[in-house]
Amino acid sequence: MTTPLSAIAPLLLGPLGGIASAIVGGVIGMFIAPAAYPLQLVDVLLNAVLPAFLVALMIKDDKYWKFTVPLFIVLGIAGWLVPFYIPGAKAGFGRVPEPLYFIMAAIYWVPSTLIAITPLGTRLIPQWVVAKDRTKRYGGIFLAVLAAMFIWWLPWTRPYWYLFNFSAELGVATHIAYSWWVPALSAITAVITIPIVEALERSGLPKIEGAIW
Amino acid sequence: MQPVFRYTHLDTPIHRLHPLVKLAYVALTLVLVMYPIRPTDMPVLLIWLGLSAILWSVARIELRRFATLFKILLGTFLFLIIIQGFTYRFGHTPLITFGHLRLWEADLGIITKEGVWFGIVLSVRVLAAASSLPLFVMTTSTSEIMTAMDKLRIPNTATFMFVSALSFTTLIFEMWGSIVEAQKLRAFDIDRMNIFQRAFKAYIPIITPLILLLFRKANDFQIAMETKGFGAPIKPTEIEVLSVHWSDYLWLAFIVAVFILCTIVKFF
Repeated sequence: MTTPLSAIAPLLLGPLGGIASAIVGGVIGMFIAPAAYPLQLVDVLLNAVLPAFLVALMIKDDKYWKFTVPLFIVLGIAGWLVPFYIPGAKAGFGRVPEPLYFIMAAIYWVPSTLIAITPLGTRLIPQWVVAKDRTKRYGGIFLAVLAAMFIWWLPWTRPYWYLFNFSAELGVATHIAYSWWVPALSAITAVITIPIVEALERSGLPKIEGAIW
Repeated sequence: MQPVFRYTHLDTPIHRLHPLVKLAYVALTLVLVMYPIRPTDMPVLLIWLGLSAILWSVARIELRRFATLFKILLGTFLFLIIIQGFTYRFGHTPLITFGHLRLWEADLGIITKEGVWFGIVLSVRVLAAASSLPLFVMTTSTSEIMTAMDKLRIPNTATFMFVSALSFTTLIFEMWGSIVEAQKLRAFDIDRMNIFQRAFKAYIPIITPLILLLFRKANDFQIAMETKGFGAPIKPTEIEVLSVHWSDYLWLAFIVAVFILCTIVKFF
């Protein structure tokens, strides 16, 4: 549940509050379930902070797209290169089949980058997530989370591929296997978020700056 | 419901150890497991795992906790051994042959001896990585963690946020349990649902009230903090004042020495 809840955090608490709560929540998670965090603070960053940070960027893409788009490209290229090219063969990693591997990695970063750079990201998603219309809101939240989760998948997996010394074959297979999992995770996250947002709107609690409710 | 690895109040040398020394051990573990790995690295990992075992036994942590850790990671170990068995690129001695299915550099029809061994080495690497943090959690109290964070010059607000959130976890577990029971009374039984029903249906009626209740608690908490002058421009006092003893230096030297030994064995 760490990743969906971290992804929801910027929507409920605003971008800064969401990222701060993801950091605190991630560290607490590390303390109450240390066995699930073998890479310690690296795991906190990968599992909790990154989803919150990337969703925060997507819901504020109208303001931050000049930062978001280059970041997505850098994460995408780095995700393609690590670990099979960097550190590559000298650390015992095999040779991946190209251009198949590049295309498989591109599935995870090119659509997100396109969403972030086009009016869908720079105008519509930030509008939709706060829209009164339920359909637009569901769509906006789903797309924001989807774009964030796809790009998040690359830095999330690579340290473990390095740690587990993944073979080239397994690298390609994992790209294929997760291609349905990321949209499913985003759909679940969106489905969970909407009732919470609506409940918060009706709760009478003081509104948080930057939150979507 | 209680976390498996939680602080246990005992009077052992590890419990008395300065939290920063324990944090150094945790950080060095991370550095060690991130070294590039070869099949010949088993002695390096076993030395570090041996250090962890010594620290666990000196801290008088029950063996069942280590068994729990092993059980949690067992799936990962099996995955690593099977996957490396099939796909390890330097594997050439067949252990089990199912047939021949060449895919790029690997023959997916053969489990190789070298691959299985490499999978075991990787499993020990994961075990070594995962064994350090539970020790820190089980031997360091919240007030010690708070003092350690202060020594690391982490801002007081962040420290307070962390510690208060940590103390909230028991409350969250209790609330979660109460909400699940309340939903069961309304014939909404999460335990009887399969994984897909849980993902799409089960969590909404549980997480929504949970988050609302937590928001209300946080709101009350904020008022209480403000009435007690949180954020006033004075240096707050520490609940537990920690001083460094010679035994802390000795333990630190011992841990660093083992780390250097591992590095030497690994690279020279």
